[in-house]
Amino acid sequence: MKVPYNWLKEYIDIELSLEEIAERLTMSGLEVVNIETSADKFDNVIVGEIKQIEKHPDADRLTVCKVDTSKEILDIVCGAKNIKVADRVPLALIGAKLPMGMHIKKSKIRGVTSYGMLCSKKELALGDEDQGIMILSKNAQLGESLENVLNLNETVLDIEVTANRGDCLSIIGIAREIGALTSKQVKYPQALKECSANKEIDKLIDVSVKDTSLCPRYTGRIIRNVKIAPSPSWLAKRLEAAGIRSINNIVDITNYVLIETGQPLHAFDYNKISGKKIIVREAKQKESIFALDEIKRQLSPDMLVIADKKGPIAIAGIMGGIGSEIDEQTTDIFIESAYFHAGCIRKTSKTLGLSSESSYRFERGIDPNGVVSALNRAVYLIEKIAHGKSVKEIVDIYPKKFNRQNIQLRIQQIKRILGINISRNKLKSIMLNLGFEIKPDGLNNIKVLVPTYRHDISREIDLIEEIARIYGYNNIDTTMPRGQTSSSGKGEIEKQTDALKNILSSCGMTEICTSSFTNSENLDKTGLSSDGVKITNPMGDDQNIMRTSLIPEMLSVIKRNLNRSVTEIKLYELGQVFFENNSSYHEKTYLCCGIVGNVSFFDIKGILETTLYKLGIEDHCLCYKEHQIFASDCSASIDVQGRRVGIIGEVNSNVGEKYSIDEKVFLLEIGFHDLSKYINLSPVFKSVPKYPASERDIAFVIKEDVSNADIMNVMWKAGGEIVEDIKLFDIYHGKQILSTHKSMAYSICYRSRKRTLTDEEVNQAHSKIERQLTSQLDIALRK
Amino acid sequence: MKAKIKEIEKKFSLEIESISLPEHAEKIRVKYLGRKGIITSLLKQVSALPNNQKPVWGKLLNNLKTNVTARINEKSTSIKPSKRAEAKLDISLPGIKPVVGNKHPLTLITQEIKEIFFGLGFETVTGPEIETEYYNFEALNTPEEHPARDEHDSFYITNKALLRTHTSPVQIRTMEKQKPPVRVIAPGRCFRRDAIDATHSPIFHQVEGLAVDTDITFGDLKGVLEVFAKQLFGRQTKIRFRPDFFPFTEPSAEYAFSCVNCKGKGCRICKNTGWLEIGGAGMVDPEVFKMVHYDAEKYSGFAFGMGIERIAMIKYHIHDIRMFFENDLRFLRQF
Repeated sequence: MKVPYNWLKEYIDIELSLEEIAERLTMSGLEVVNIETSADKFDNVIVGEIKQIEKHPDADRLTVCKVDTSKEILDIVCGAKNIKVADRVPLALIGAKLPMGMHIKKSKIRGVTSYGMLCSKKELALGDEDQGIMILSKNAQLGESLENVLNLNETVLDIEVTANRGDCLSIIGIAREIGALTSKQVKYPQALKECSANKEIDKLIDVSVKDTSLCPRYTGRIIRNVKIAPSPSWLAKRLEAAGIRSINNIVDITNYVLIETGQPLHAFDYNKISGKKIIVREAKQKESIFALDEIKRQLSPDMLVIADKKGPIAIAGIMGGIGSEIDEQTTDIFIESAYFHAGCIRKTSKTLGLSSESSYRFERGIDPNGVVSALNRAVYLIEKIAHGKSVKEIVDIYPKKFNRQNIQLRIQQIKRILGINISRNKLKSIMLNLGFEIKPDGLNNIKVLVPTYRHDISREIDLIEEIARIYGYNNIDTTMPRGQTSSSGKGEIEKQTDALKNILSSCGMTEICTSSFTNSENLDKTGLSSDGVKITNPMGDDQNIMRTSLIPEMLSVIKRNLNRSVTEIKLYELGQVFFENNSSYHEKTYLCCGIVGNVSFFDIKGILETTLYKLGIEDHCLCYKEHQIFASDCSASIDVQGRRVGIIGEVNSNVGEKYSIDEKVFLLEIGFHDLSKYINLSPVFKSVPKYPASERDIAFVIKEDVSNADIMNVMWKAGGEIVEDIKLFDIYHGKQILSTHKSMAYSICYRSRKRTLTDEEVNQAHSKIERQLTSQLDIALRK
Repeated sequence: MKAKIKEIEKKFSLEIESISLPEHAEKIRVKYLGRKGIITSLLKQVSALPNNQKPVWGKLLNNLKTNVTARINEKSTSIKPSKRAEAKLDISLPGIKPVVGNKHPLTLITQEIKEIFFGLGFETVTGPEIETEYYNFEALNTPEEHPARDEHDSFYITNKALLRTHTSPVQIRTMEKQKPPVRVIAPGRCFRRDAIDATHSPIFHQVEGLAVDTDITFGDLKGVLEVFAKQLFGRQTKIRFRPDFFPFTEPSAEYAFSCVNCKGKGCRICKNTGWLEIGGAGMVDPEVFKMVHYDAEKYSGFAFGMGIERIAMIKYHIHDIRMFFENDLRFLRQF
């Protein structure tokens, strides 16, 4: 809300500086987000004095003036006739920007250089006079900036009003708040004396309200013989400072009173009201209206309208219709001041996608008992400015009066919630300054009567907040909570994810954090189904599905980094993916790892193995399993205790092409929720071996298609329990070996936990392994 | 025998003084102390001596051995430097760095925040990212017609399901499950339909905090957040509270920390205010307690929220929120 400071000062005496007031308001909940001044409007326009006027050597109509700026004397070429020596005038210096957009530069005019420009009122947008230079008072300080001299500085406070404080969406509302903070009274503006509702006016206009719950109060007055004209400049300027465009005197006055009091008003052209009937009712099926923004709006029966005999002439509380608009021919007007149901206005505004200064205030609640005074204020201004004459009587349909809330405040509750001891006197003065009335209510309580503009206060806790607010949050002592805690710190899953991130990061992997949104094209690229959870109102169609896999974004991130010439890439992400199942939604945590660079499948497999080992997961293996994103010969499922938990492999060229990635990419994706139950973060110590180990190597030639896993299986089984470890240390293809075969070399470590093994025992086991390999896998030993 | 020892000593002295290269010292060591060295052989002969003489000679020979060893060592150390002069190690050559990975800055800052609250007796809870209208708004005292919803431009899945706009629904889910005392924090991802710019992202992260007990006060809320501020940004950090509005807390506050960069003097980061707005907080509104069947006459509590990106940006001097989601390795590797 924009609050012009001079306007504000009309209603409240302010003894503090502008900055102090802004600070006080901010610290009481009305944040002053900005203080704007119009200082840059007349940048570089100063007061100059004419020292000498000479004819221009080459132009009869021009003169060359010597102008004193207090610092120097400048030559200025001028065409005006009204100036004389010793006049003080507005001088736009080189570099000045004038309100009409003119930019002052050094220029030669018919051979004479002019170092600036003397300005007319029109050039400064201070009036319509363009004949002659604006002559300033002799007292105007030489060299001083024009806006200081003319006191043109309009300072505007930009105040952020929270959703609960509809009562502060007006200049008077802000003044009231300052009054509460500085113990000062608000000075209310002049208005016509209230006059009672009278049957006389019923002959001129017949008003009926169909649903008084949606429109609890409807008031209006008629003013005849108004003269529609542009607003006087003070009015237009104030509205402009408050951020509202000036239209004509009548519309401007209704807006002025809206900003001043917070009460939205609407002026109808009385003669355009068909049948002189006003009906406040819900819209009928298929009704529509051309609102003032010239857009046709389709209405529905849950919307409240103001209708005449023919149909809707305004969308209640939001915007008037074109049909009853004030125009240059208007002579008689009907001014509406009403109180509409906040929720109803908000709903209509949302449905129509149409909001206005009025709807904004109705949604946040206005004062039902301020409706008439605002109306009378507007009528007063209209009579004064637009020369109308009001009909004496007023329409006021207000069947059920809103009374002030009467709230019990238990004194000890203040201590219980805020932790402060506050004296009775302090409490009393806070309440009174806020405009609340208090009555004693036993020893420990008070009764508080709250003005009807404070919709946010209906409970004891609301009063406690008011006390805290005015007392000052920063004056409340800081304490620490006492009592027992239920804390167990980290949860089990959290410990696991923390451990996982530690392991992966120590494996040289870097964590990424990507968007939860994707789109069908992205899912398509990786061959994933686009049956994801869909967002009905996405930011764009490229972000309309909740991700079902972390792989598409992983590939995008890899591509982005390759583009930036990063060649060694090792990334992981732990994040939520989303699924829909019979219109219920499931979230799962997935882990995705991706590596590119000087790496092979065995790097990603190694990362997996280390990770599983560190997480205490032992029984796991990879099984060949085709997957649409992986190359057919390098694609596997990750199984833990026989259960599939994820996939691993090399991204196939088809998918790589779609991401324009030429490099080999190795990926794995694991359902963390599936893995979680196998994780054991508390390893149990096994004693280190006491007895020495014996190592024996074995090397043999074997058919290409026999896997390491098959060989290992045979060796483990044949070796028996004295085999502690088997390591592959060489695979060889070469001239000495058939192309259908490979040479494999293993190192076998034998050890007993109970005693030192004899050579004989080791030899026996080793030769059994050799025999079994020969018989089962048809190896040829290399000696 | 004594004379022999003297002679050996004399000869050794001459030899050891005359050398200038370490390898010569080694030669002398072999000559006297090697397996077949002069002193070693004499020591071997001791075993053949009569029993009463063994200790005497053993002692003499051992003294000799000790002296000779010491002098060889001494000499070889003293002549070493001259030998290495030309092959001095260039310690300015680059170290061989082990490859380490990095956690995402948002993970790091979240862990740091959590650790502080663990120390204050809080535990972690979580909730779903796809929420219902009920948990995201209604149970938080924000019915549909409430204007406060304007600040929560939401992504909808259906009429009743949406992406949570804040972590506050976890408050409700926690209180539904658990009786007081409650002291929890809930970090997590949130979504709002905010246009992307340097300080806004439709995807962002928050940490929610909630404490409910028989006598929790606004002063306690201030205390907890003050301790948090000081632990996160240093002892000199000040905290400021000012009234704000949230439908689910009453009284409500916005809290700010004194600017970490300029220490409150005013700079570009704090827009010359000296303060950095961190988040919203307040005392749990009795309406919220009603929704979860807590007795507001018996229990009181506070809740707070903060933006994780915001804190990470302050802590690491990051000026653009988009950096967190670009996943540029040149950025990520700095953490």
